[in-house]
Amino acid sequence: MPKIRLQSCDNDIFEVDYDVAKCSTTIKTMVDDLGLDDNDDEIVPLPNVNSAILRKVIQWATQHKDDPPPPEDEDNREKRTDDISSWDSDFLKVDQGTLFELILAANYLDIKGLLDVTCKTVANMIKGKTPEEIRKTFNIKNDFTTEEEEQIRRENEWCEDK
Amino acid sequence: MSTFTIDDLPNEILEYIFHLLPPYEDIRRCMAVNKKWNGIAKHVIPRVKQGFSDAITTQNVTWETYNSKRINIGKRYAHSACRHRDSMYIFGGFTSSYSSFNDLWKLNLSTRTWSRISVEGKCPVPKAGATMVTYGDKLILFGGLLPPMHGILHQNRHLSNHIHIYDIIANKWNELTISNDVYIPGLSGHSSTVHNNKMIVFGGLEKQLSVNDVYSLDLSNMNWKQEIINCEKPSPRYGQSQIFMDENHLMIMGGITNEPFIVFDDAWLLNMTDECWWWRKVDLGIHSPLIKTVWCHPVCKVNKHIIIFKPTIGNAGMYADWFPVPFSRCSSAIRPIKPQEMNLNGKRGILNRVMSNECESQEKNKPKKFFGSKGMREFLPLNAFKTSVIEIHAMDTSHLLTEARLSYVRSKFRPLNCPTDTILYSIIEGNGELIMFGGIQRDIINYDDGSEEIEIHIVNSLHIVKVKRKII
Repeated sequence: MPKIRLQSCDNDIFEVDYDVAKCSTTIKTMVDDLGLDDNDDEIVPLPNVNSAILRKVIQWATQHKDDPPPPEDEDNREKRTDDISSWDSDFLKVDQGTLFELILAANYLDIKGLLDVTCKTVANMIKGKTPEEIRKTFNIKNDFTTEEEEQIRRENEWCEDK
Repeated sequence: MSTFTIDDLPNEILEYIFHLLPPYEDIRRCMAVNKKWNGIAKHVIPRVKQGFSDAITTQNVTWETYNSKRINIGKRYAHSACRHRDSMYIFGGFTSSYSSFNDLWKLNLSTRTWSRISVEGKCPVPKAGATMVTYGDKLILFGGLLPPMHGILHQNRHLSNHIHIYDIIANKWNELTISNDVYIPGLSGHSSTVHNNKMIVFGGLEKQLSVNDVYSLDLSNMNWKQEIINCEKPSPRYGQSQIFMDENHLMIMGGITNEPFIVFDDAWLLNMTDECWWWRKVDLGIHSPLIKTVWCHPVCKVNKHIIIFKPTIGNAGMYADWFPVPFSRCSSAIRPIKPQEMNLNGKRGILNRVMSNECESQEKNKPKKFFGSKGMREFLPLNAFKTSVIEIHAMDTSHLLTEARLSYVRSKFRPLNCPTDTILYSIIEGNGELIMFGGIQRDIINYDDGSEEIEIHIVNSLHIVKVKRKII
């Protein structure tokens, strides 16, 4: 099985099967364009991903390497947020910072499945919460003036009733 | 421990996350978090609605079915439905045992959860074929067919001319006492929309005859008025769909009438701009036959388009007998006294005139047990079953007000997961979706020998039409 060497931004080298690495469209394109094969000593540099996150990404990709490719846009069904597999849900029991770093890495490496499941996890953290609860959850500062807040509250007043 | 926060995500990703949320109160709550979230979230609901409008006109949509296991609301048809804020309200309708309901249910569109509302005040009597419209924080229920008196079936049923108002904030039904001397007949199968604070009512069955009268109920002072219209009018009918076009225009489409039995394939525009109201017949081009399905397949409007639902198989007049009317069109021998939740294979053959007695006698030999499972059908010979599913058609109203013309929109895609044909359901528009509830599900099964069987189930399924969404 051909292997590929990936280098994180903090200069750690990870040797992974090509089958695992090709979950990332970014890496797959690079490898295909460069025509790397297992005899090469070349290393694929990933300057946007640190080794802790890259290790997680490889762990996810190893688990999902045999998944069917994501369907073409035309056949995509409506997205749901309640269809996260138990493996993924355990995998994503991480601190918020790691979750956001995984989203950024999935975006940069172009791994649709990982991006999807991490975004769904964040959506589930937002769902059903009041604005104040959302701010608390994500440590977001409320930068509305009192007047602006009052106006938004008035516009959305009815959504707070039972 | 990572120091990244949600603020480190690019706006595009935050927007994608918002698009994963139900396009209702969660989005409005995101808008209230901070300025950045507001700037992104405020576009989500308009985009979802526009995207759905574009998708449904080209049929680039998918159906999603929530079956009865997750729903405890009674199976029903010819019920009344309307939307208020993030909820769909359902009132009454016929039951599967041929009586009717007077319960009020609320579906939270965001969480898809049903709740039965325990209402105070004077409840309406059980009825079907009534109209319910939203006016501010109130639901206005009018007319409908009452259940038989004294428990005797087949006697003429009573038509209601009552107005009940459900105050959502106070959670209370109020019955309106008619405050002036106008005679308002009991009606069923009529249609209603609200324009300029008036509920406009057209057609329906009055006693045993279809009518084409127009009434208005001024919702500010609760005064009824019969509107006198002295021009060419739509023929008397019931079961038509009535569509709000703007404050001064409504359109009616389709409907049926009895004696003689006619299934209408026309549409009419009512102009209420001036003191003197007038009807104008709508030009449907070659597509008027499509309107024949409307009497039992209520239409709805999405943005500038009328969405029409049509079965893939079956003619428009079939099952007219199921419409809640105050009389029996056919002999009591074949009247569905107790439609049961199990199969009625072949038993209603006379209505269809295609099914033969032979079918009935063969009924025990047919693979009935397969009917409940769509998955198993695939193992049967290809031509054994032709399940009639619901097709979607769209007509553009851009030229309706100016030229009284609807133009057919040619589809580019095929909807996915189309449900089995259902009639006398209710349909409302949500945010970026259509919500179809209840009705009578009809399976038409064609056998190799040319015979047909029909399965009829009264259902409490929710069928939701949504856009096929793309991944970023």
